[in-house]
Amino acid sequence: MNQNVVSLTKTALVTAIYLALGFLFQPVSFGPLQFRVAEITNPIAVFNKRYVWGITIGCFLFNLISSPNALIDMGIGTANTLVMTGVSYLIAKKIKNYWTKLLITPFIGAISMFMIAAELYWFASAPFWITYGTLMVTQFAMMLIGAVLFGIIEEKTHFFRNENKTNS
Amino acid sequence: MDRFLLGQYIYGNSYVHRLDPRAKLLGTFAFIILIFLANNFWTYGVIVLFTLFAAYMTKISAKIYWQGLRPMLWLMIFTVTLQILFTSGGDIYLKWGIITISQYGIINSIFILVRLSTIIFMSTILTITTPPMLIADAFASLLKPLKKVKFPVDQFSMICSIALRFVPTLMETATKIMNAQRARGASFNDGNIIKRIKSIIPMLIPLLINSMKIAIDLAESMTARNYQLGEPRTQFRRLRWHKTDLYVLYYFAILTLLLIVLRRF
Repeated sequence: MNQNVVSLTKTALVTAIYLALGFLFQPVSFGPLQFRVAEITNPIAVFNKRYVWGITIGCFLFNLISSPNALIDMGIGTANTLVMTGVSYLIAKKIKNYWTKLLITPFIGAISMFMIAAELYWFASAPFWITYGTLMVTQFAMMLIGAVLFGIIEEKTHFFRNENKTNS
Repeated sequence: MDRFLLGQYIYGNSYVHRLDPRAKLLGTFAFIILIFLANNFWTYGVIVLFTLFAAYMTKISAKIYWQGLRPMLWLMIFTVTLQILFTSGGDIYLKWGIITISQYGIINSIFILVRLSTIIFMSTILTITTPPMLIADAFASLLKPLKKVKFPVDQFSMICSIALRFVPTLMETATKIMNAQRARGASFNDGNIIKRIKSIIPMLIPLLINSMKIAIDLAESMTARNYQLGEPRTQFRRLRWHKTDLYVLYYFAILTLLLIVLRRF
């Protein structure tokens, strides 16, 4: 089988997971006090570079289709996810311990929220530091849940690290 | 979950519904840039009229637009309150400690409110009149020039299409697994947050394994049909640019001219 095509469909699968979670919890996914449940998928990026793109495209599509500020969120929100997951992947590559690798992602996620706070400051004149604070807390919580959840699942299934197996 | 809706699209046959999604995307982009030309009551007035006209042309009830505004309502109230209470300048109406209600504060808050709500209105117009798949197609089509700098536009577009198609399948599978586990006595809504997260894990594992099987099957099927990454492909949904789509660009040209003239008053 063409491995590039397998990689493409697996990337699309992660995008779909992000979108499904996003659509399910859409009403609480935007604004300065957001609980974007789809962000629990971000720690998956540490397992393979392809998931950085999968999650980024998921965020892009979700913002484009569902955000009240579609095109602004699409640009800045997507850039934020790309930076957050990309940095997580690069840092995780240098860490050997499985759980440290995963549990570092909520910190990266929380720090990177300055981009969204800047967006809200610029377009909605929301106070930067208060917005940054609330976004950091909610993002950290979501990604911590994701890191623990996907950490346990991956430990049991090797679902995201296995290249070609279905684990069946 | 059976009535799960993807995005916010509402079926219709209005002029805006029939427009090429690329025209709507370009229009929304232009609007977000143009709104920064507004600097006084005249220009913001024009922006409001333009937005209301566009919303009217969709033939969709005001209630739907209100639903679009709702998620950002608290942000709007919060920002406006801060602007009113802490911005000074012009005539001062009230001063109490660090709180100042001034002419500039009130004017600024009105401008911010208009800017934010019109951006939300325009974004809502795009998403309620265009199916998600067409928005993704339109974006991929607009990205085509990036092929020259080796950006994988076709792969990006394929991932978007597969993912959007995958979502209802994922939801359906999740519902089936949850129902099967409920039948065996599983409970997803009881206990504290940690208990609830733990109860999701036995549901997520079969869901992910099932999805991975679908992904592999799909890859096999694509390979069997000789799908080649980066090779040109035909498309089932073809976007066509009509004369009426060109009118959108004229409307925006007129809006730009009006804003440039009126911002001097």
